[in-house]
Amino acid sequence: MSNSPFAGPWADALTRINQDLNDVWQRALPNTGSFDSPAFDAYRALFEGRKPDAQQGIPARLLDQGKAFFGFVENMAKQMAGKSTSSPQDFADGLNQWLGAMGAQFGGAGASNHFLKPMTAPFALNLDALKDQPTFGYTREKQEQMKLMMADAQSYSRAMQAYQTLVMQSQMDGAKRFQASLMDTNQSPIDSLRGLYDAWIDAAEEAFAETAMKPEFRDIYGDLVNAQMRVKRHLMSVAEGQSRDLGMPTRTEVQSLAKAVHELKRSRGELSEVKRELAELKAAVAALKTAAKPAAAPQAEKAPVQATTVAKVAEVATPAAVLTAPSKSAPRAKKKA
Amino acid sequence: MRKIDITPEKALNEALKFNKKLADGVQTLADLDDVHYGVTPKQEVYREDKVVLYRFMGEKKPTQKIPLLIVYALVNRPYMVDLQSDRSIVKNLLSMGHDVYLIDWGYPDLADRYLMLDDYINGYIKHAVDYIAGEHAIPAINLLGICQGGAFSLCFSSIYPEKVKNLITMVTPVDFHTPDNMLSHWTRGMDVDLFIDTLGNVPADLMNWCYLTLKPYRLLQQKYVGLVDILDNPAELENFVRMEKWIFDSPDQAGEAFRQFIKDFYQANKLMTGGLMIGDKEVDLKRIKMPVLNIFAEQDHLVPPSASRPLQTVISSKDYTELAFRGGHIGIYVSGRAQKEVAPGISAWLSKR
Repeated sequence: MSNSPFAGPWADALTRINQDLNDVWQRALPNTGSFDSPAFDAYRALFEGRKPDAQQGIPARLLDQGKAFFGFVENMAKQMAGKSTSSPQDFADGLNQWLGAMGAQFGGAGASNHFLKPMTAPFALNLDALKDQPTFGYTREKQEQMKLMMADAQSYSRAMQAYQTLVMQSQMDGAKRFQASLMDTNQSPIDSLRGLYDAWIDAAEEAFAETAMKPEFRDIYGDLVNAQMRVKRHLMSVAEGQSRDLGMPTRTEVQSLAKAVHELKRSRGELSEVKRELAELKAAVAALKTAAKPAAAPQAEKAPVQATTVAKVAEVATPAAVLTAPSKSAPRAKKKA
Repeated sequence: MRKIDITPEKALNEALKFNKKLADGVQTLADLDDVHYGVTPKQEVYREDKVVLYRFMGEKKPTQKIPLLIVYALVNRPYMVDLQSDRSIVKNLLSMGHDVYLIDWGYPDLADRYLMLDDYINGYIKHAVDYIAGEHAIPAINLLGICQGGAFSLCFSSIYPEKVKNLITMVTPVDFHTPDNMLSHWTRGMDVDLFIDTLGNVPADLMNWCYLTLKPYRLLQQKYVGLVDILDNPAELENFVRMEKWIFDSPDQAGEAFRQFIKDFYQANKLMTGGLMIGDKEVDLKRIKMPVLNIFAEQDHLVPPSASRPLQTVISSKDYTELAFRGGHIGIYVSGRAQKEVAPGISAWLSKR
């Protein structure tokens, strides 16, 4: 076994892979730049919880995923460097080193780089001193609002940290499960890098699913969403104030209009329903009158029929088709030609 | 230790092959035409606000007398049921002689912020059903509710049982509090009033992000590594891109309807426990006495079978059938097996009734 931390057939393979990656991608996407330096980026991005970039094209996304996969391979090959592939123990040691490095990524040094740091960093300031200050003067109300916003921002920061901790624990659990699956002789053999990668995904997903179903996760997730909404509400309120200052319609005003329109629509629908029922009743009365004419006695014509009576008679005597067959023109309906 | 047969040479070859495929794929992708979806000709027959009722036009005239209305979920676009020529529940049903209608909910915007479940169920669905029944001069039609649309169809069938001849629910959640329902679990700690009061309508991107994080490693990473396998197959690649289009082409959710759906269905589980009101109408699933076919997917991570199967226990129908599909929430529409099992299963069940 070599004493070099990075030598032997695995290191050679990795060097050739990296050379090939650069050559091929330089040809395919001339503006991509070097492949090898950000090789672990996309892999890490997953754990950092970044949202996919909506503007990102499929080729760039593919490149990212390629990087993700090769990051996985790269990391493994580095840990395997100098290990003998013919010795199961040596191979196992190499894998264990690699998995240990993955664990460190999640829970050790990598944690300082952990996801959403850019979002939480602004809130990491010591705001306590500010939020405990009394407020005065012409802008007092605005200062009060700002204090509330700071307090909510701090709550959000705390909720985010709690969430990150839980996700990191799940990632470390995933690495342990992966390790256990590699040591499990009952599992099917792995004969490719993809097979290894897929086994890692299985372990990570299994660990995440277990964490995500815990009551603790539910509470922390709920706290995070709620805290985020409170901060967003403050920010929207600031934006509303600015819109008002500029004479622009605010979101609240537009929503208020939307509500009024919705109520009008519902009223119109109810009116249409009443009109439809009235039309049906009229038709029923007309049908009754027509049916009653031949047998009508002269004195019966003199007696006015009460509206309630007509309705009742119509309900009992209207031909079934009138009452049960749905109207062809439903309320608010607009039939297309 | 588990047998791991990977030598540096093997790894090198595999990585180089993978890399070449990846790079070649850039050209294949560049050559890929725009994807098309919603292949079966259809006619707009009724419109109300942003909601459109379509009638599909088959190659031959329908032979079944009772038309079938598909009620899809609000959270995705309904063209999933007619995604492409060889993956279309609609096309299969038409070929079996059914007269198929579909409600397209459109894309709600701020003007629809105050739409409630009452508007969707006692409004749009009722009007669509009335329209179809009126056109066919029949009192009741067949209803196929899918996912959230299935939950809506259950409410509708309970409120207006006389308008539904046969009810089919597909990947429909009924019991939202089963221990394997991750989505439901996550919503339980949410203050949905704060959520909706802040957001108004719920942005589609937010919904999609939530769905992706249910299986973050598979859906955000492994899936795209797997894409490399089909990069040299333009037809498969086109299918993949079409599916991506469907997954991320999602409408925003009308705020008030979302508020009630989360509160009453996800949090309070009222389909099971009772007390659900849609507008001024109570939903009592015991009023569902018509024949019911309940189709669920055995590997569904969004609506686990355990969430669908309790339907049998809360309705009064004496004619209840289950169809278990071996696949997931998406595969039930588009997989090869689905083409052979789902539409034929629905058709066979309907033809007996």
